[in-house]
Amino acid sequence: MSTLHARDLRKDYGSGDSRVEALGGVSLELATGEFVAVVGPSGCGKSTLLHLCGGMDRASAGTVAVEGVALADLDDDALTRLRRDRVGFVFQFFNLLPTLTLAENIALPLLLAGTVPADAKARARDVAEHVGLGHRLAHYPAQVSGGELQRAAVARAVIHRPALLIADEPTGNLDTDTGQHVLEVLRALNRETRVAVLLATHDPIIAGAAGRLLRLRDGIEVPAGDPVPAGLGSGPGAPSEEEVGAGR
Amino acid sequence: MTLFRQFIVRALLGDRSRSAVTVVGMTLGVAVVVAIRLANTGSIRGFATALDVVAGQTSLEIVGSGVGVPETQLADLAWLRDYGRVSPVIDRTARVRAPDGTETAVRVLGVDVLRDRPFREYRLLRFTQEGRDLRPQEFLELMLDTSAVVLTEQFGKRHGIDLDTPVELIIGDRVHDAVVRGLLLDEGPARVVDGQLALLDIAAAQLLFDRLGWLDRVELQLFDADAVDPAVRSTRIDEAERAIAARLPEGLRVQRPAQRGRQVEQMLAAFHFNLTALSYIALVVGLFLVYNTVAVSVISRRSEIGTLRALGATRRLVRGLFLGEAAVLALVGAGLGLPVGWLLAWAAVGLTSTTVNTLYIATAATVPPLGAGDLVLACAVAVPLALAAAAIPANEAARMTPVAAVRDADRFAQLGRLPRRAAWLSLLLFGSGAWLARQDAVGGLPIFGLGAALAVVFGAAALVPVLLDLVRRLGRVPMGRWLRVEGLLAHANLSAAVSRLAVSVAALVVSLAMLTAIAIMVGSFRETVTYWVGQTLQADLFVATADRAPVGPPVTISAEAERLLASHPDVVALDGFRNVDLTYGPDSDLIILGAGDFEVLMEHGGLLFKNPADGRAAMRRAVAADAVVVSESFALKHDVAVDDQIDLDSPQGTRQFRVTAVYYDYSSDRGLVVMDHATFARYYGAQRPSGLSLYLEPGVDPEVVRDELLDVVGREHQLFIRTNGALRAEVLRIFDATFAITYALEAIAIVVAILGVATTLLTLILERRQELGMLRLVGAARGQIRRMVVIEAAMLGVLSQGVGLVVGVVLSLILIYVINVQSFGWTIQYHLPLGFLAQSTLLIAVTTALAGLYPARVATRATVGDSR
Ligand SMILES: Nc1ncnc2c1ncn2[C@@H]1O[C@H](COP(=O)(O)OP(=O)(O)OP(=O)(O)O)[C@@H](O)[C@H]1O
Ligand SMILES: [Mg+2]
Repeated sequence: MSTLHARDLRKDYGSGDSRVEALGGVSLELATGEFVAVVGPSGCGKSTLLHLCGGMDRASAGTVAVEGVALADLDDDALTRLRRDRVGFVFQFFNLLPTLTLAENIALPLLLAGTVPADAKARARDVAEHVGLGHRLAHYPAQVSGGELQRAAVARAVIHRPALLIADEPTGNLDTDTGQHVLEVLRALNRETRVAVLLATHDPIIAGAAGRLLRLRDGIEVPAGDPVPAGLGSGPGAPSEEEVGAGR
Repeated sequence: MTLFRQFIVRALLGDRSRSAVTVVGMTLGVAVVVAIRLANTGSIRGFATALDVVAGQTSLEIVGSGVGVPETQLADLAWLRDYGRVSPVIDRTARVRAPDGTETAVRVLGVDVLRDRPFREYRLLRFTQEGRDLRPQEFLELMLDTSAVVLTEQFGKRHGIDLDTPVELIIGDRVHDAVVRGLLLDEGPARVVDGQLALLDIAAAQLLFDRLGWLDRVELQLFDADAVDPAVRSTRIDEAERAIAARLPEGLRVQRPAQRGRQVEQMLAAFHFNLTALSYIALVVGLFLVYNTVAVSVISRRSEIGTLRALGATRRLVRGLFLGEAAVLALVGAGLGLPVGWLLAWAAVGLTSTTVNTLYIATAATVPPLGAGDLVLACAVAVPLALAAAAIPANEAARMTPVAAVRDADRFAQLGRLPRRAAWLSLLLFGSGAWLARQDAVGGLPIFGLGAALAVVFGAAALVPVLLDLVRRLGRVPMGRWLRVEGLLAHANLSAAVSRLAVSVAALVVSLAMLTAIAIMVGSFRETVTYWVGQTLQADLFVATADRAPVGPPVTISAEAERLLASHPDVVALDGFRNVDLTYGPDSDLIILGAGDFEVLMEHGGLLFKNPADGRAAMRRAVAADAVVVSESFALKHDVAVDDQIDLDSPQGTRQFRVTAVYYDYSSDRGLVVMDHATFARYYGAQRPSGLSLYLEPGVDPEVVRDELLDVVGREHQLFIRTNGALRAEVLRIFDATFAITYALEAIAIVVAILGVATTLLTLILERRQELGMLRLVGAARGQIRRMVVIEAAMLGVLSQGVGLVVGVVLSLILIYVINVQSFGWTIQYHLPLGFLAQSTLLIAVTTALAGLYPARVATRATVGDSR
């Protein structure tokens, strides 16, 4: 059983004349521990795909199953529970609650799930150590750097040992070095916990870290071999298909 | 101006719920102030119109001391004719029972028809079916018949009365047959008093009202009173008044008719002043909302303001924009507040009329129509205050630098020195409150006392950020523990918003503190009155007439009725209470001079003494001596102590009386002086009592005796006989009616304040959409979000009520020991109505939690999509 199974996903926004087709039939499968990067130009539907796969939004057509559970069959509460228990999220903007300490932010999914606060705190400390944040636990988001914030977001995304990690441009708001650092953390977690990672990015270097690439354009998959149109983050130094393949 | 429309008006329209709540708050605030003002003037005007109508063309009047002018002195006053026309008058109230069975109170004027014609417009009379004017001679002949009465056409129409219709006149307890001999046309004066006027010949009136040999006053119309220039007229009247005053014998006074109105106004001043002060609470709460709205729009639009500044807007422009926002809110609030206030005024008149009618004057109070003056007043009160309230946030906006546009992060850094500064401010306010509370009253009004109350209220408001900060620092662990993750999140959210919440919470604290204080004051007062009633209402039955006259000549009980009552075998003692109005002191304050049988009072213990401890001995000393006992409010207002001598006017001139005791009394704040009935008779002449207390054989059932007595006096006498229990219940009913308006005003203030807290929460939630979406994303169920917001709301409610209780207790001390004493001169025993306070605490917690439901619903609408 694969961790993520998506078939012929379609998503339309709006209706009538103002209808936009964001996804035009994308299929995707992630096995346990797999690391897949979604790449493509701005507006091609990367975020849309990730939202559908993570159970944040519902597809207009097609099916998504996480660990064999079809998301379309779940009501709002069940979907909330599934996200809380089996999926983790990291975004470009760090999305931490400014009024909670890093430790509390990291522990939040466990707290919401009703874990005893002491246990949740202990586990948060473990995960924070793991991402290199052990010394920042009592700080508030406003008091730490962007890289640290994103590592805290990653820690929060994996604290409940999800099967699937959705990461939408997790390094998009960071400088290259810091982005690299966050990527290292993600890769280490992917290796050690066998969490399947679905990551969207503009950055060819980040994409290079993935085990597999899914290339989108105007809401549909571009077969391997076609040139990937330059995204915002890609420049003259964008890696060729071979380089990416050799990267891992 | 364009910028104002784009930047402020659009934002106000965009954030409808907050703008609406602010406008509602302002509207209610202005409405309550307007309503109380209208109701207050209404109750005085009701009396003043009646006065004007009856006064007619009278320039001056000669009045006696308490009991009126002895007719024998009229002969000695022949010299008055040198100044103008003279007309003796009997002016009383009675009830008319019409053929349709209704009984209506009317003002009765007994006049000497021929002499009185120039004073009042009798050509409006209709005496014949043809409607032709009557010659004086015919008029005189008609009125000489003692059963003749003239009513008004309006009254006649309403009750099916026409010329020669027989009616019954109920005067005191007696019922007289009368025939309607004339109807005043529905024009001029008759119309103003709503037709409730009756004319009698003066001799008939003296007979019917048991006033043979006495006049209520002598009216004087100066010869040149019709001088065109009002200033000239006024000086002429002044000159005449001085000259006449110099020639009048002892025991008589000359005054302008309007003087009586002024006395009534003065009498009501303290009552009205306190109501007015109370009505401003709602306005203050409304102003808090204006401050809040402007502050929120400044804070939530920091970056927009920064952009404006970067684009070249001056500080002055930015300040002007936000002050303009406050002005718009205030103007809309004032505009809506006027009509709402007018409607509320009717309710207020209804709520206050019981008090005014029982304690002060019987008046048909109406609400005066709204005028342009009211609009000006409403705006003149609302706009400057709103601008003052908005000045602080508007200045903050003006100080904002263009950098704020790019640096939104200091949303949380703004707390800074706020709590410390607020702590100092609140300390300062409490200090000045303590000082103000020790100052004396100004002209009988508790100006400083109210200042003290205000200082405490604002001190409490300033304390709010300090406490919120304390909760922020100390509340995290306990809240996380008791209320789990929702508690933790709620605490975190509130902590982040301390400076934004401070104002709306302060408004809630202020109104809750007032509620607590008023509840304690009223509760204490009620306990005190209940105890007092228990101690002083000792008689088994109380007899009164159906009519009551809180001011003016008393309605009396006839000798025949008294004899019938006394003859019942179960009645062992009977004490009549006589009372007259008297002016006292340099300000001519209206006091009540009462007389009772001290022997009976001593035996049955009808008074509760404050000083000396042995009141009975003091009373015994007052019997057969020129001595009196005085009520506490008299002693306080006129600075009189035991063994002092006081001067009282009497028909024989000013006489000195020694005060032998001060007793507690809560029946009137006018001040009572009581003497033994023998002493009273010696100085004021024999007068029928206005009330009787009956003491029965031990063991008999007062209810049974009452029914028997009613049978004995029969249908010829209209008497109210109340048992002890019924009278106690009546006293408490009047008491509760008196304070109904207090609670109503307070309830409005609290509703406004809770609305304020709810909108503040709503604003915070709208700003936090993204965070809420994120919470949903990491697994918060809708229920958890809802619980979080409701906890936030309830926490604010509980905090406010906590502070409100503490501050309320302090305020209640000021109300009871300063403001009440200075306004009314009553001792109130302090009593905490714990049950009520517990209930209100629970109610506030539940209500604020419920007020959080709408914001909570909005919060649960946030979707994971909002997290992006
Ligand atoms: N809520 C929405 N309503 C309407 N259209 C939307 C909405 N969200 C996305 N779209 C449209 O769907 C298409 C795909 O958007 P999506 O955000 O998935 O692109 P993306 O590949 O993530 O782009 P970027 O690299 O800029 O993040 C775009 O054309 C976008 O305009
Ligand atoms: Mg995207």
